[in-house]
Amino acid sequence: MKKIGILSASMVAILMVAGCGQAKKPEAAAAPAASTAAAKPAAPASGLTEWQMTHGIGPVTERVEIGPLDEELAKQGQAVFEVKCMVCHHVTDRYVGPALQDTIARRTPEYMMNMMLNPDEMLAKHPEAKKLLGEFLVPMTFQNVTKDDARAIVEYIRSVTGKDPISG
Amino acid sequence: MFQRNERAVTMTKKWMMTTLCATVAVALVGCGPQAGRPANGGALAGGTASAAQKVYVPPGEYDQYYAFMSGGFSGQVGVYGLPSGRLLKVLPVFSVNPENGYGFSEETKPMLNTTYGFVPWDDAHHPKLSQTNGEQDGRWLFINGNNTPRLARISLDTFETDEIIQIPNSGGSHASPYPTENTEYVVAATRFSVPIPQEDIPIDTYKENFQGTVSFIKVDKETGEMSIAFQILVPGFDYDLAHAGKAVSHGWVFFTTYNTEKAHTLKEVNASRNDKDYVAAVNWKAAEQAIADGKGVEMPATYVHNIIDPKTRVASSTTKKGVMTLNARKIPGLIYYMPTPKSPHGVDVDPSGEYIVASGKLAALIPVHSFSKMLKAIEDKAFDGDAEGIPVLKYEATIAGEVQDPGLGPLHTEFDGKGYAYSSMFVSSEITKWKLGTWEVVDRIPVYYSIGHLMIPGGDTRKPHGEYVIALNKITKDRYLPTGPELTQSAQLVDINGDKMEMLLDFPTIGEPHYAQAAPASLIKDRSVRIFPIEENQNPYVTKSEKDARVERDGNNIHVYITTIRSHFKPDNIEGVKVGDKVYWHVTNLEQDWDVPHGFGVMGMNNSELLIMPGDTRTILWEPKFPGVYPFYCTDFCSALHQEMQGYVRVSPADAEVELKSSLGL
Ligand code: HEC
Ligand SMILES: [Cu+2]
Repeated sequence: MKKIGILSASMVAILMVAGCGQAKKPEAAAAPAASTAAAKPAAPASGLTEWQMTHGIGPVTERVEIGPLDEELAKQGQAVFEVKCMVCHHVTDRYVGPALQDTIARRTPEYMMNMMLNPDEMLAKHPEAKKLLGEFLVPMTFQNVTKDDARAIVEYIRSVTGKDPISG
Repeated sequence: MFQRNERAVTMTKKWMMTTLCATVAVALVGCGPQAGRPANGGALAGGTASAAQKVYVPPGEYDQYYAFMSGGFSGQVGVYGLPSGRLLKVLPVFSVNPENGYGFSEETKPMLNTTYGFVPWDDAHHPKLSQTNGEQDGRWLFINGNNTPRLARISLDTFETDEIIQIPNSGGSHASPYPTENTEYVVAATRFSVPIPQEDIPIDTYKENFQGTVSFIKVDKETGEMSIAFQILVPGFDYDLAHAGKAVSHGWVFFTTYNTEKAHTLKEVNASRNDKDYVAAVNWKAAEQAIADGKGVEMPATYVHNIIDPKTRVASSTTKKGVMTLNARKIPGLIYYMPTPKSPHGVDVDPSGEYIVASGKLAALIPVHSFSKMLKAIEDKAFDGDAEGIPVLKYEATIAGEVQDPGLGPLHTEFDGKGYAYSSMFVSSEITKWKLGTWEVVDRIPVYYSIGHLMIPGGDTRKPHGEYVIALNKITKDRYLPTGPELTQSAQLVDINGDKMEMLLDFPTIGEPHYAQAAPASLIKDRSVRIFPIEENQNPYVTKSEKDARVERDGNNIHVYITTIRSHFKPDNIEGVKVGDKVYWHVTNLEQDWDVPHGFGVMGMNNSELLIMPGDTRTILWEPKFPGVYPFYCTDFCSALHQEMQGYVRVSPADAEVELKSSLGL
């Protein structure tokens, strides 16, 4: 009942305006639809599990094995990275996004993969990602990568920075 | 007036739902006259709270149907959501569109090529959705260009025009493009008869020398690619509209004719003399057989076929020669004429395929022909003479019934799948609902004003979604504020769920929508392409990685391989361009996220901007005329740093010795 009431009230407003043909638009109609997750209201403080705090929110929910550097995998990662990520990330310098060498020094592989695979939700909910958005002002976008791509990119970041991600 | 509004709004906070409705109704009626309503008062229809609720789509929710309305003389297609009536997209088809570079970009320029050269405009009339088993399949939308006879195919997964084929031997492709039950063909007939093949002869030799054609355009089952299979040469009447048979009548197509008088001047009088014109029943299975039997004659013809390669997404244009023809006068069994009163306009086939409704626009009744009676009449040779050797069937022999007093000026009919038909009455401005089989009129509703086509989602198929009928009105008059919107032809949404039709909504449209089609959003939405995967981009000028961004000179041609991402171009500083160069900007958008196009414009460019969808490449030609430094920038507000998404290109005199180079960053 309450919902219907609200609904009708807004319709009344619309009808009034339409019916009377005045140039005034209802407020709601002028507001752009939220197209990026970043514009959604923030989740109540944290609300994340400890695992999520360390490893991010997304399809990667288990630890990923980091062994000796796999050159072959790193090459695959490089191919994807050059097409889909290099536009925004460089190795040693800040570009549109953070430098890879800074990222690998502060993130777990799972966190990086979740950021690649689920950036909208990460930027909306994860305090670390939100903090970076505040700094860089461009939302990191989903670049249509698979979980395998993401894993290969982690390997590439290891190879190109000569560092390993933190283990968390 | 404002006070009245405010009062009503305050009241809504306190009052209960039922009272609310009354308030709204009162408020609406109350402010009507002040909004400049005409004194006749009849214009105010619908406008109840329950009507509002039926068309209300809450923020963030989707419309139930996509409606594709022809953009008429704009040459485009308007896509609207139903029931809200919101304009979702203007889809460029036959006209250039500077908004995204359609018809200007190198990838799309060939789409508008014809034997007359580049034709950047047309008069788009009848959108038709592809069908499988007589039902919508959500794959393609076809639409005709009436002025320079052409047919277009639009892919519903990208909402892009993928193909345009010119129709030779035609003088205006009005009666088109009507798909057969499995989209084996789309058919197209000429509205205006002309000399075939074209020649320089006196107009008053019309009766001896002018002919019409009915074209069968084959549609490839997998790719949708169109090719002209054959044309049937027919007497020099005017061919107005058509519909393919379905179910029992599959294998036939029905066309209306007028001007069976074969007048070539003052047609409004001279083409209205005959009591009856004809519905032409064309047996296309017999036509296929005649071709197979070698009865076809290859005729000289020249026409142009333009298609987008699905892999590269680049259009090419090919000139084709020759067309297979069949002469209807010489091949018995190809066509029969069913006499139909007074210049029939629409011809519509009911969901069962048995009833063929032909609306004589000057007639006082709507005749309904029966397909099975037609077959019997043919078998019994119940002929009433012939027209140029084509048998004319006896009127009584094919008629199933007549709808008496439907209103004035019946034009078109659609069906609700529940046993009822809805006909548009142009002269008396109303929709008339009548019952199939008994032919009795059961309901009428006034529409504003002068309705042309009408449309029920799926209302021309075997499975109509009989919830709404849309009135596509020709005259807007007083529906909106007086100056400005006079040409936003008013469409109206009518609820047909109940026994009585209920007026729900007015909404303005672009161009002059003739016909429209609508399909459930679910049929289209789930196959929508949101981005073009960059790894699959096969444009010959793609730049797949920022590391490949570059500038190359090839004589006077300069190719700029440039990428976009929020919020920069690479390169963004270019030097070494000279006056007299042709600069091709090949812009690749490396974004892979839904709804992140980037735009591209250079100061002083003579064509249009580009709008590049995620993962796509588009090319625009720029020919700088004066030395100087020219800014270029992203025209689409893409990000917080959009205003920074900008670059410079330096143009030097033709004889300067500035080295060609490009860069980004320090
Ligand atoms: C449109 C530019 C853009 C693209 C494309 C992009 N990113 Fe990002 N990325 C950013 C920005 C900016 C941030 C910082 C967070 C923010 O502002 O959203 C970021 C954050 C990240 C982070 C977390 C950094 C940290 O230190 O926490 C990782 C990991 C990452 N990106 C990896 C990638 C990978 C891998 C790709 C390619 C699949 C990619 N990004 C594509 C802009 C981009
Ligand atoms: Cu941009």
